[in-house]
Amino acid sequence: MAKIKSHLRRAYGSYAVGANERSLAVSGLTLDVERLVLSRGNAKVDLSHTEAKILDELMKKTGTIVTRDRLLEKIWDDQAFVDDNTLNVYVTRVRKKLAAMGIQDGLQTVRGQGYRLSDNWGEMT
Amino acid sequence: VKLFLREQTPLIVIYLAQLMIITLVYRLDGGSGVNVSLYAGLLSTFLLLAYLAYRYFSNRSFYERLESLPSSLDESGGPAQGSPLAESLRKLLAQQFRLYQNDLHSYRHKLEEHIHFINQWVHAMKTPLSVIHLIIQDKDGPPFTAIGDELDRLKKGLDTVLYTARLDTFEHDFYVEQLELADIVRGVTSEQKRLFIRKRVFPAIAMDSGITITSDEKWLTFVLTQLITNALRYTIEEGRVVHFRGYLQEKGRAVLEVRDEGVGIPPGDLPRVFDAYFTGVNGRSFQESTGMGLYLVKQICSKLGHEVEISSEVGKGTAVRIIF
Repeated sequence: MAKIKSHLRRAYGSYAVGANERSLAVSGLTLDVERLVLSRGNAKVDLSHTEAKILDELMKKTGTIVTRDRLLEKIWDDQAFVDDNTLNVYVTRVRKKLAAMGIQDGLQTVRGQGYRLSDNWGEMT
Repeated sequence: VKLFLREQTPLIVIYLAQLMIITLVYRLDGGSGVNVSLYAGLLSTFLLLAYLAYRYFSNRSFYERLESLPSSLDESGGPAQGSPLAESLRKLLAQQFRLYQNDLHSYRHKLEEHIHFINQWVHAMKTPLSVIHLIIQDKDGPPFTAIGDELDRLKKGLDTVLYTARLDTFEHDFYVEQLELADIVRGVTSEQKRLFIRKRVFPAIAMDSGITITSDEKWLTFVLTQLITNALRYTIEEGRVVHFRGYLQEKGRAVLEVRDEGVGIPPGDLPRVFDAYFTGVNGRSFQESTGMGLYLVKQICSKLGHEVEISSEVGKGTAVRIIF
């Protein structure tokens, strides 16, 4: 079973992305998952592991809703105690760091469903 | 001796009656005196006693065997016997025993095959589940969440089948080692995170540091999964907490307490929750109670040498303690 999983992972999963050094870019916003750095143009900000995971998930699905359940699942293993408030706290922190990059309202709350990252900030001018 | 005497009583009675009649007949005939008939009586009584003594000694082991109840199955039907009656009984017993044993063997064989079959079947079913799980892994949205939930349920159901079937062959299938209690608890809660998140009930883990236990990881993980499933199933309100507390008793034994803030168990049901197929009041008002969960927990723990305690208060919650 583990073998099958590892094969599938190699083919489709996280290792497959390994080629481009595990970094994500959305409209000029770059997340380096390995170094835990978020950058846009010349602006750079360090992230915690949990913040990086949240952003990773949101940026992979830019423009679509990511449910709270899914985000909770993602951050679960890093936390001694996870609950709804934990996620709220981290989402607030992520918003602050996005603001530091000059991105306002990029991370929107969709009531009763989850969060959505819309790349409405445009390329650096 | 008692059995022998009881057995021979009719013979002794008949003999005495016969002796009296014959003596009487001869006396009435007027043929002989008191001394002669007394002498004849004595002689024949002596003969009888000699006969009885012979019977007793030759059949002593037979009688002893009849009087002692068997404590275990014995193939031979006992030691060889002197007299023909005892010997044929021994042969009968031995033959009967062999037939029973053959029957027993064939059933045992069937059972083993059945367990083997269940094992293989469960593993065969797990492969498609894993594949589905991998396919939906990166998908989000209500339909996929629902599929994920159902997958978890299927997996749990299969595990219950597997572990129930394996319980009988437990002796061949466990590996005891030193385990870090905190690691185990963390591992299991992490494995069940989807369930926690879905129910909006979260775990709080409070472990005294450095508690190691001696147990089997696989079985203990199954036990904890059962306890978590129960705790979550019977917690209705969102935002509640399942407390995991690990500590040492005064006597130095490690204890793991899993306490939920759920509906609790009525006192009338409490003594029977560890019985197989017992579902109780809660089981009937909630879905998916099989009555097997706590039964398996109890069985597995007793095989691992752990104690299980349960206490509960309706409306406040239930606490299960495993004492290692």
